[in-house]
Amino acid sequence: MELSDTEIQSLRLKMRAKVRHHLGGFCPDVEDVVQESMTRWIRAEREGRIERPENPGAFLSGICNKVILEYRRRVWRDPAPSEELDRHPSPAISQADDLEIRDAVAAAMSQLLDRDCRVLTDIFLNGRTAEEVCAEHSIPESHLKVVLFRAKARFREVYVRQVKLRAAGRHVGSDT
Amino acid sequence: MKFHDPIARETVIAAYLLNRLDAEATEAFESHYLACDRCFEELEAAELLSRALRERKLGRRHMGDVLMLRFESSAELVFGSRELAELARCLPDPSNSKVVLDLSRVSRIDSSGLGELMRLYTHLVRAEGALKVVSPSPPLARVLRMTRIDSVLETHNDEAAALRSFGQR
Repeated sequence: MELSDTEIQSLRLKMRAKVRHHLGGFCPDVEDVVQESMTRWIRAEREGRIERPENPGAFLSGICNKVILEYRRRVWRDPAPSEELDRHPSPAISQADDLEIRDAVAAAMSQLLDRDCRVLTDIFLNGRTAEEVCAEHSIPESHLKVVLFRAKARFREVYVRQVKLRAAGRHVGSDT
Repeated sequence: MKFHDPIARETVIAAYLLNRLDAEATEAFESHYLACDRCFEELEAAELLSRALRERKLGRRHMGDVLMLRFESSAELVFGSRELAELARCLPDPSNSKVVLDLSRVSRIDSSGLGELMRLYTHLVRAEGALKVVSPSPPLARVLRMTRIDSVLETHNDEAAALRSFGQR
């Protein structure tokens, strides 16, 4: 199974999200852990060790878990000196692009009604269940679905734009 | 896990982002999104959304037909500040033309901030409503007095007084 650049890029993004979730967004070694996981996965795939290549999620997640565990053990045994933490450049996008994303997020937020904001805050920040939210705001489940759908559609657009900017930034970076 | 139902999916995503899934459910969700572009996009969109909700500085609530605006943490209504940008974006719809703005957490204001207050006031008056401000700090009250904006913007010591002036209890 030969993966295209787009597929590898997509896998890398997903893996980065998982690693960030486990190690925290400020961990300086997220990219290293992602790279090691990708390398092991591609090697396993070439050696035909993936039982269900059509559904690689569980295998990929398992490899990533192992690399995260090894990383944690290594950091626990051999903590990096503080100057090491500044060594890694962050994969951040440029300031102008960051501003564009912030504007896009602000625009998406401004389109949300007050009540929608409260409903979404209860779900995404306060961890309330759908039943609790519907009861508290006196809204039917169908309305909750509409609120979620509208808000998520707007933020999905922002996310897609962010991915495009990151990809463009990487190309610019690789040219120079 | 079922991800076809949007509410079930968003509930899992919210719990994942808040670290409230147990290890088994976390593993199941991660294994799923690593192979599912759609759910991964939903996760990333939810993360952006929850970050934006967390950063929201201008809280809103309704007391009858009055919209109460209050900064959730200390704020500066000065050129280029996020709080000013948020205030500029918050022009209420015509159904919320009565607004009380709590200024107790505003530590500084400049001409851009004053301009924004007047823009909000004009917008609401045109919609046959009103803007009233509550609890400005002493330096802020001095600026409002010096610029004579206090002769236009009704100022109250607390929310209850502002609500009473709208005929609410």
